Amino acid sequence: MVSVCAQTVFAQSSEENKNGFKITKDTVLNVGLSITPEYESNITKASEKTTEEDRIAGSGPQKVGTVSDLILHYSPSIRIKLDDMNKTVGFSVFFDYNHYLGLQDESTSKKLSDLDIKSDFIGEFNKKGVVFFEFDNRFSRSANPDGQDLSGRYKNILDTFAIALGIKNLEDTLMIKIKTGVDFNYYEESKDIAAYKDYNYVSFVGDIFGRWKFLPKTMVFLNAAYRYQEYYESSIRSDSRSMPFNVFAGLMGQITPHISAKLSAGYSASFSKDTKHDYNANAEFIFKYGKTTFFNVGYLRNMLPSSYFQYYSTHRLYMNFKQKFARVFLAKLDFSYSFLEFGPQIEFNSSDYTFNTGTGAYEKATVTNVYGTYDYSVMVSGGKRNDQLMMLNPSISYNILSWLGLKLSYELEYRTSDYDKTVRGTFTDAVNADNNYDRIVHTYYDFINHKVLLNIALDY
Amino acid sequence: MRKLLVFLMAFSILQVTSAAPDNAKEDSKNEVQSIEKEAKLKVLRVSEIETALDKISKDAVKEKDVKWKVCLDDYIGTFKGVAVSAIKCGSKIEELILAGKAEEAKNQLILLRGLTESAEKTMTESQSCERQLTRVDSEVSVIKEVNIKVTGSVADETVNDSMGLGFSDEFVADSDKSIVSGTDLADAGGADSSDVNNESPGSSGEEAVSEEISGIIDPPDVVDVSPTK
Repeated sequence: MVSVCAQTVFAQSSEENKNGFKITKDTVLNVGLSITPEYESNITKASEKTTEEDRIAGSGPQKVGTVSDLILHYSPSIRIKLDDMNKTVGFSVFFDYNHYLGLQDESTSKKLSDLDIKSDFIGEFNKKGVVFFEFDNRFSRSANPDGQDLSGRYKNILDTFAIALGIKNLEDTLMIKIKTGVDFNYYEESKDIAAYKDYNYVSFVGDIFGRWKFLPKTMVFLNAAYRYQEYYESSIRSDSRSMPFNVFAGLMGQITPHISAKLSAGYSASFSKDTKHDYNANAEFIFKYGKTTFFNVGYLRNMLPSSYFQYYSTHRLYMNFKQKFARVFLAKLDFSYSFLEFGPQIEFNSSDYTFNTGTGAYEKATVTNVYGTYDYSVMVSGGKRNDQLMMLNPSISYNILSWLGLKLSYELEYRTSDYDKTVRGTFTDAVNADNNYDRIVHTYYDFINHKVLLNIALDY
Repeated sequence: MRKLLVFLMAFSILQVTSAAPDNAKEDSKNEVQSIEKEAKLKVLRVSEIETALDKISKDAVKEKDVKWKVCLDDYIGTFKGVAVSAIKCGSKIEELILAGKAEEAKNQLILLRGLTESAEKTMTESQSCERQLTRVDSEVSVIKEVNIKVTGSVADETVNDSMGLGFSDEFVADSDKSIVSGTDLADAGGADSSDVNNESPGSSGEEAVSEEISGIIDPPDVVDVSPTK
């Protein structure tokens, strides 16, 4: 009885929490502003083992070290949605200005302050019909600190666009959806720095999804998808395509009022320079108690394309817990552990590099021109790369009002990797010996990062 | 002056007395039209109810829901008698109007109103028939073989709900303000939204593999080894 009453209360409160400015009968505008102070212990996610050496100065290997900082996020947002019986059209834009205060390293941290943007534009048409149509365009600009040094940020623009045609039977038990789309990924720095061009890609996606609801809250589904990802400016891929194919089928839904499950499995293939056949799987169990408690635990195995490797596949264990209490509080705990297996690396397999068995390094041909002579070599770990990634994220949220909330959260990200890379660059100037240099950077990819965030959000 | 006043009064009386029969005729014509119109609407409404009940009855047969069908049949049996009477009554009103018997038509209309009310009541009561849970249709509020412990509550009949999507959306500081949510016509627990096998988005409240993607892609090495610098 208590649980029934609690459910009613939550249902009512969620009905009442209809924020937003009503523009027309069916159009609502939501306006938001949030301010989030954040402490981050390792803003570049750098390894403490990474070293840099200036051989001309004779300083020996020096640890690059990690940099912590306090960041203030100022985040205004708007969402507008027209929603009626037949169609839904919505648009949102979210700005996030990251203001690095430069607590530890003022000169470099302040250079990192920049603007993140996220935008979403969706449409659903003929919603009540047997045939319906959808589109979705998501745009994001993210500005993250560079991986291993603090020379600046890399600014990544990603736009994903998809259109879908769905066909349902009258009872909505059967549905087929055919989707096609294109993703476009571009680093703003690639205009000036060639290394970034390796990450620019355009990706075409084709997807067929079908489902059959055969019991309440329960369905079987089948998904087959193909992606053609072209790293169109890559200097390191002799064959710059990555073509993953995924087909999987499964079952999801409610077993009892408190327990739900999802089981799916299928076949994955990556067609790149080599062809890799693999399996994918997902098992997830969910426990819910009314509208107040949610707990799930799952295992996921999948395969995705990668910029520097032909593909990577993931074994992932995850757990999420959410508990609402006193109507206005939400406690959450998210945990995940992933074991990442990378495919053969693409870098240095191209004709630009030759493998020197004596040094164990990939060497780029010596470049000699009127300015001088330039040598560049790269030495990477042998064998396959395997990483482990652990994430832990507890948080507590408090709804002061239906449009004003607070959230205090902590995030731990811990990564181990057996992969490392040594890069050596030497330059002998033809005229002025003062310009000569001989530098070695030894990069590791393990890191630990702690974040503490306090989010104050207004969203009406 | 007095003559003029007398003339005007006489003229007015004449006007009133001569106009009265015309107005009465006009009122009577309007009333007849009103009766005819209302009678047609009432008959039409009874026909609509009949069609709706037939459809529900066919659904019950299609879903092999015997209990529901038997319950409906009771109401449909009652309704058939009402419907036949209403249609007859409607025809009779038309005939009476043609015969110029407005008063009798009016009496029949009162009867037709009663029959229509009875039809509406039958339709409403037929909706209380309990159904077995054999149909899965998000548009229909399904009254189950009331065992909520097994089947869940009536209000939340979606797969998305069972997978926990939108579980904590009402928390302002915890929601993602960068996306605008649609209706999710697929109602497939997020399985239709990705080209790879993914965990359900309700589990984490955010894109399932976003952190994997950002973590996996190696940050470009901007090592200052370029001879141009």
